[in-house]
Amino acid sequence: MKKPEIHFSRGRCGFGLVELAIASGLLVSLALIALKATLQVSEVQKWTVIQSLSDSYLSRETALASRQPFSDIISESSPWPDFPSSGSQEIEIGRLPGGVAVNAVLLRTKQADANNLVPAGGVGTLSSNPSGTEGWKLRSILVYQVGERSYYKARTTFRTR
Amino acid sequence: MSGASSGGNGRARAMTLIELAVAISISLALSFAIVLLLGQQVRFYNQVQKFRFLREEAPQINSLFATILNGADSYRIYETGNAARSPDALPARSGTALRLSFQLSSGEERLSVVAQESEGGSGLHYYRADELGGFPETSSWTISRAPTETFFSNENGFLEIRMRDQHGSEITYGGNPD
Repeated sequence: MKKPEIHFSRGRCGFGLVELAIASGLLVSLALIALKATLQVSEVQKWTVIQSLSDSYLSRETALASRQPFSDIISESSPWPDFPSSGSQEIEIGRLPGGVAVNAVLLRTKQADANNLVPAGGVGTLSSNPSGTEGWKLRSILVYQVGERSYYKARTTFRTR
Repeated sequence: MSGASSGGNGRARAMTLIELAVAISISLALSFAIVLLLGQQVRFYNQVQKFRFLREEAPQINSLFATILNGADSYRIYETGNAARSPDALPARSGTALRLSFQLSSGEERLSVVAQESEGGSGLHYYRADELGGFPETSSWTISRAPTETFFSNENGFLEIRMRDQHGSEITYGGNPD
């Protein structure tokens, strides 16, 4: 008995091309998803690293604010000018792999405690502040960029005498 | 007889040279694309690893330093680890080693040294002195092998710890442990 012949219709041949297109499309989609995931991880990593660098720099600011002699803090040439004035300087907060410097802007200002006596910038009186205690809030604000976003990170140290 | 069959006996016809060439070309192109993707992923992984020091190691070292230094009663900076372990060496304003003094509840003083050293494996090592104040030849434990350079400094009136790794990353912490 003669076996039936196998016929490939025009439609069947065209279907192979469709399969190929679907496979290529899937591969390209997977590649795009992988690329997007890579970019997202890269962005998150950069954000985390710069947070780490900015935290480390502000740990130095806090240490300096705690250790600076009080007479220097309230002097005319104080590193923390009286609010609303502020001192500004561009600083290097660390280096990324390859020695790439990460820069930021450091703003410093100080505010008198409200209960300071009038000569010390407050509105306190001898009845509200009989010992003449003087307190100052030293603020260091770090302004830095990650991608297109600007971030502000601040530390406040309260000094009294 | 159909062109799709061979000899009219029902067997499927063989592929033509052109079909084979097309199939092989497509396979090669797909393989090349996959190799490119793999290479990109490997480069990305290496890049991520380079950031590991700043992302993970440095904050952990700083946290450990904060714990150790807060427990210490005083610290002194020495130029090298050997100087810090020597009873006669003079302290310096900056250096690669820190000698810590701990007052025990019994009133005794116990010394420890944290030093960046290249001997016995580059890294940040911790040496704990015995009851007589003698330090062991080898470190009691290794804090981290990630930093290739560590500098302690007191030049700004507070303790600064600057660390670098083999990829050129640099980070500086500050604190007032006293």
